[in-house]
Amino acid sequence: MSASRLLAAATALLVVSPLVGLLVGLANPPPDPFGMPQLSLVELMQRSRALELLRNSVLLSVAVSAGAVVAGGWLAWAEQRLDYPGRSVLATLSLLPLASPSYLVAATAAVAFSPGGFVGDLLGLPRLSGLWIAALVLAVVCAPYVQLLVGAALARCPAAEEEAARSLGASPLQAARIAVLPRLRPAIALSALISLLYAISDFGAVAVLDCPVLTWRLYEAVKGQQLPQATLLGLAVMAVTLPLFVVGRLVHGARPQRGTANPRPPERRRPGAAALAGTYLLHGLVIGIGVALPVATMGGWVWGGIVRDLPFASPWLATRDTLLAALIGALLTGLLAVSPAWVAARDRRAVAVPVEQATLLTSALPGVLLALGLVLAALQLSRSMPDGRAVYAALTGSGVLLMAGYAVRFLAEGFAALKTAILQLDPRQEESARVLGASRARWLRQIALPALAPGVAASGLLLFLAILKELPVTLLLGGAVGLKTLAFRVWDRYNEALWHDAGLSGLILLGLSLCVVVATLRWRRHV
Amino acid sequence: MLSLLFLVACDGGPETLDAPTPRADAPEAARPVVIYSGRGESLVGGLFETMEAELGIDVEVRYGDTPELVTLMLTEGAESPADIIFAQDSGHLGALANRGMLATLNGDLLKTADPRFQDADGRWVGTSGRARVLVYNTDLPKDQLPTSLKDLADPKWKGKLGWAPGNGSFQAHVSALRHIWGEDETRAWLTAVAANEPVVYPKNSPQVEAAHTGAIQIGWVNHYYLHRKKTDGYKADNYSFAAEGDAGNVLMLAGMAVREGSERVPDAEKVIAWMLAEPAQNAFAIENFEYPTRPGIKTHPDVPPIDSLKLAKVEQAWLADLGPTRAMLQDLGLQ
Repeated sequence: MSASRLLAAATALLVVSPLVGLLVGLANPPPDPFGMPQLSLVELMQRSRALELLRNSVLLSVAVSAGAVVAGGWLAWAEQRLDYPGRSVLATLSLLPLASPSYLVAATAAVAFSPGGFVGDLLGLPRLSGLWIAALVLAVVCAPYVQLLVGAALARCPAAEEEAARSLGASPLQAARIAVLPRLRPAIALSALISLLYAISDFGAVAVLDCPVLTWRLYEAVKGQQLPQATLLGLAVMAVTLPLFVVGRLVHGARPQRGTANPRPPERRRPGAAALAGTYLLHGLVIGIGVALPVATMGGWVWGGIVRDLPFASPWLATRDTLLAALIGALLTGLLAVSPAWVAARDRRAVAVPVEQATLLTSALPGVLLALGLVLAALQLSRSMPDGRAVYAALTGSGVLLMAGYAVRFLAEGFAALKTAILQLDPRQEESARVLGASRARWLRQIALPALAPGVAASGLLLFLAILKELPVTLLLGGAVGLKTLAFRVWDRYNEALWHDAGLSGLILLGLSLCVVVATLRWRRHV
Repeated sequence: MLSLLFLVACDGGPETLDAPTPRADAPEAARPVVIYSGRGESLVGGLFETMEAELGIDVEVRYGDTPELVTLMLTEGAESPADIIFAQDSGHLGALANRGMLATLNGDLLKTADPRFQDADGRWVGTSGRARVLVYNTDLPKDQLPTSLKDLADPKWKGKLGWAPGNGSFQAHVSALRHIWGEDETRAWLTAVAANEPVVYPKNSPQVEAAHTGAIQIGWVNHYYLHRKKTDGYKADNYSFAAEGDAGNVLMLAGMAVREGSERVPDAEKVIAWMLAEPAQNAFAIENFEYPTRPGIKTHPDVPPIDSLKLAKVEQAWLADLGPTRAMLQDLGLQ
């Protein structure tokens, strides 16, 4: 156990390193490049209306989290427990918004829903903006996380317990509450937390939709070369997030759940007309806003380019770079997530809580600030060495800093899926194995790892997809490695209003993700 | 740290354009010239490839958003691997210059660009320009368009405008307005335009499309997005103010500079010189629809020539005076 604690501590150290870098930077703030006086925290809070922004950020993330849990939770239930035409295809399609960058979904939704757009004209909508649209878009983007995590937990819920409850006279609803909900609580809590962190750290969608939240102002501060102010706002974001972790723990339940080996799934039920209509509506909403609209919009851009005979850049190198970055990044981040997930799921609570919080702490920070924090940390480190400049060049040029960036940014996502899987290991099997004289390694190899496979797959999938569409960290830290990903292409071409080329890269990006999602789901079913 | 100072002391001084490249035995000679490019790969990537072949200088281009790259450079300080910064907005070059991060460029190099379009102290040089214009829906008769930028404050434009206060060019233009009109007048104008409830966009380009679809009647943008979009039947066009020196007629520069302390100053200056030479300047004009900064290069036939723009007299330092502009925009709740 001490080895896993040591590894967990090392991971936590890596995760908080950008924070340390930022804090050291805050302690010795450089003069403002525009000669403006450095503002105190109070002045800054007043000038930027930080409290109002803070309130908006909390409102947005709570709404997103609630929306994602309701939508994703229901879709997970429908996928695992209901029987309706098109279930398998729709369930898979509903996971695809995982692949859509939030800014792209927001941009296409904003165009389609505003006057002049086809949905906007059809329904006669006024121009949409603000918190609630951002909440809708982000909830759609986050719902698949919930569907995936809760679905994995549902798949491991034994039918026996529900049937026992039913045979003792409980209604289906009561049976679900008594026998199923407690088993889902860790998955629900963690996926709610992930949605929360996603919404609070997202700035792409809120920027496109002109939604005044904390991350938006923070980004403006980075753009204005006011890193100390951005750091202060970042700390404010984290201060908001900390109590959310506590809430997460409360929902989560006090004690690790006991899992069951080889659970037998219950019979699927045919839903009633209302439930069926609701399920189709949800599928339609998630698939429509999260996938169909971006695909149709980008397809339109590409078609426009073909009609006007505009030149397209060859997408192959960008595709290769994207796959390389996502594969290596997901592998390293997944490996890093193992020890903290193990400790958090199985160690005594006194150790588990700080490990978990350290792991999740920085995920509330937007990528651009994390990347700059890592740069600051790497600079501190290399300045303490004899040939500092060479050390810094090696750290950035070798991709170490980039991979650290991916790990810090996405550890929470890998961690959540792994932890839920580890929590569901059946302790009785472990006890039996030990009683029968099996070594710990053998138990791990023959019992634990096969049982963990779906969770590991889910974790790897989430990480791979997250890195696939990642932009700010790749931009700031990937340049030194010469990395130009598809997400970079979309951003680069969209910025210059070359929609046809942005559309092509965007469609390939979505296509790649589609392959990954479908392949992983198929593999998951075979386990 | 000591070795670093030593390196800077040895190799940092500005040298002439024709100075020999660093000694072959110097370990730094093998590494490419690192360029932080805030200009998109789609705009300049091809040019860099041609340049590498023609000059025989290896470059490593790291693309990003100009403000973020400048923040990165300021953060990295003396450890920055960047030799050249290629900024989308000259204001950010001003910020770097103010912090002593930029080397003074070779005088011969500066002579090749229009003196109006470079730093007064020779620390950066403009490579191409974009004109600030109005983009309007062509259903709107041209004689009803505002005759001056000031007219956007007229209540008759209520609900018909678009702007992008977070955009770099917007903020640089407002910085110029603060110096042309004064603080109070600029503040009053911004307040009045804001009262017209313009649609807020995150950047310039969507305004062009919005003017075409009729979502807005008038947007406040840079000129070159329209030319990318324009086809037969496109219902948006650009408009510059007819009055000589109207505060709305301002040219925004993209520019290049060499980092103070770079060990590759001669090669870096060769790269910049190449960007100011005729082929690259023609490419900016013809392929990107921009204004070249080298005198005597023709603009794209669809783009009005620079002398027809009736530009306001603007000092480059004004465009870099972004701090008070951001404070003003924040005070007014525009940002």
